[in-house]
Amino acid sequence: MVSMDPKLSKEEIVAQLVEQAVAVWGPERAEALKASLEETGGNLWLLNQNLPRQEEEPAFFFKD
Amino acid sequence: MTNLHDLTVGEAAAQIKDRELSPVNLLQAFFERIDALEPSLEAWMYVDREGALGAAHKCEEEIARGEYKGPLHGIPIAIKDIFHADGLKTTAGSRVYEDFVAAYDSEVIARLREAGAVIMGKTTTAEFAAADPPSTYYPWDRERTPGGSSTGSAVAVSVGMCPIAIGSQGSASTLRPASYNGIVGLKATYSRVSLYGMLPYSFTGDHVGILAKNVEDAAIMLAAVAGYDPNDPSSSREKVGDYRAAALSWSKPPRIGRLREYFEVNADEGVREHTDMVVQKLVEARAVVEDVKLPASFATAHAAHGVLGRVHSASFHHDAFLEKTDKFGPGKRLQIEAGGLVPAVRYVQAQRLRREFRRDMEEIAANYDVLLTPTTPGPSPKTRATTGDRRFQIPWSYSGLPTIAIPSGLHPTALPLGLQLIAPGFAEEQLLGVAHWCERVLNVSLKPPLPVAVS
Repeated sequence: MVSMDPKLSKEEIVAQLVEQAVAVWGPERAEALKASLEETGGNLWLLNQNLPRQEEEPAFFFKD
Repeated sequence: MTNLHDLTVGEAAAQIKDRELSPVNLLQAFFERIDALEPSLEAWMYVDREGALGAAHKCEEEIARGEYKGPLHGIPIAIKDIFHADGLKTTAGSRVYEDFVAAYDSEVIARLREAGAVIMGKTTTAEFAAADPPSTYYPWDRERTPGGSSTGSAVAVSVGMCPIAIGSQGSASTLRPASYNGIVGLKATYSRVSLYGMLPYSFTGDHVGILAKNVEDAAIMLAAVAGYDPNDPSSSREKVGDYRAAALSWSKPPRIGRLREYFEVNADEGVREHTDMVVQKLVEARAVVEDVKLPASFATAHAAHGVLGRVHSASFHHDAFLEKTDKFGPGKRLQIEAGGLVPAVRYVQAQRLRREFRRDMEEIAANYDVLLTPTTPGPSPKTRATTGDRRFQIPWSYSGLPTIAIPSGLHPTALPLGLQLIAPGFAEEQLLGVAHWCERVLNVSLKPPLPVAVS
């Protein structure tokens, strides 16, 4: 599982995603997924650096 | 005399109401246009000629009996092939759904039928409204993308194979192809139009899209499809406005907030110069335009949106993906596989950041009638392997704020460009009013260089 440690670098998050992809989808698909995992890892790293305000609730549907 | 296929919805509706134009004749004009252009453009999954003709005859009979339903009565409409229509195929541009026939109408189609519209058939889409593009050609340059994922709907409207079309937008799928094709693209506030019966890309990012020849037509369509739907858990009970009247009656020069940072920084030089020129025209017509700063929460908008889209794709397609992996296109497959690896904690965090950004943008937007950006960073790129650059639409699909793209002129490459206007949540009347004001001031009409040669 990808760690949520905010001190992790983007490269470390990508490495964890690749490891997980090998386990779930197999080594061949993990290789095909490389660019996508780098993008996803970059996204997760950015979220790690910008945590929402503590009191912020999610709002799945904006109805009003 | 104007060709029937060049009529706007507003113009055709006036003639149908006065019984000067037969819905059947109008439909036949579009069929002729399809016969002439479709072989070289490939914008349709299929045209339901029999069903559409039957509906047009029914409209004609109703109108002859004095049962006129309103401005969509007898108007042919194209539908992106991710919306279910009872008894018709919904393929979503995917081999996974190649034989799927819907057993009910999506809410959008049900409301259009209720309004008397004639459903012409289904237009092409990138697979599941994301990733792998369809075969559709760009009428302005066959080596470039027409945009997407509402690819067929945008092309069909732009060349007059239909007067108006339904699309969708989970990232950039309505406003971007509208801009590339020189037409109007509208998405209302998230939850304003029911998503029931539409195959999803992102449960919290999807919007029904409208592709039209002008702002008035987009307003007519929105009025027909907007409103609460108990079958859609995201559907809002906010009051539906008289959008056409709001668009046509707006007369005061608007107060506009111009978002330069990010949007103009990431645009090419031709787009930046074009935007300066367009803004100057608006100012000369007495619009007040001020530069506006983006909130700090903008920094995570694209990343959080990307996480949400991948997770939602993995969630929706989970079972089908395990059963029919090889039937998914390569781009969609990557989204699903990567989405399945995202930690749940980060998914919820992305939703919390989304709420924060929405609130921040609402506060900024409340100071203006609309916010303004170029619709795209550049013209349609010279590739058919992607549907173009989606960055300028993502913040508004992510936050759910209503947006519209209107054509604004040509890039130095002689390809269409557009202006993107953004309004506070549920301020569609304001958005359409300002868009119509800008449309009148700019007075731009863009038509692709037809006939299109078949290569």
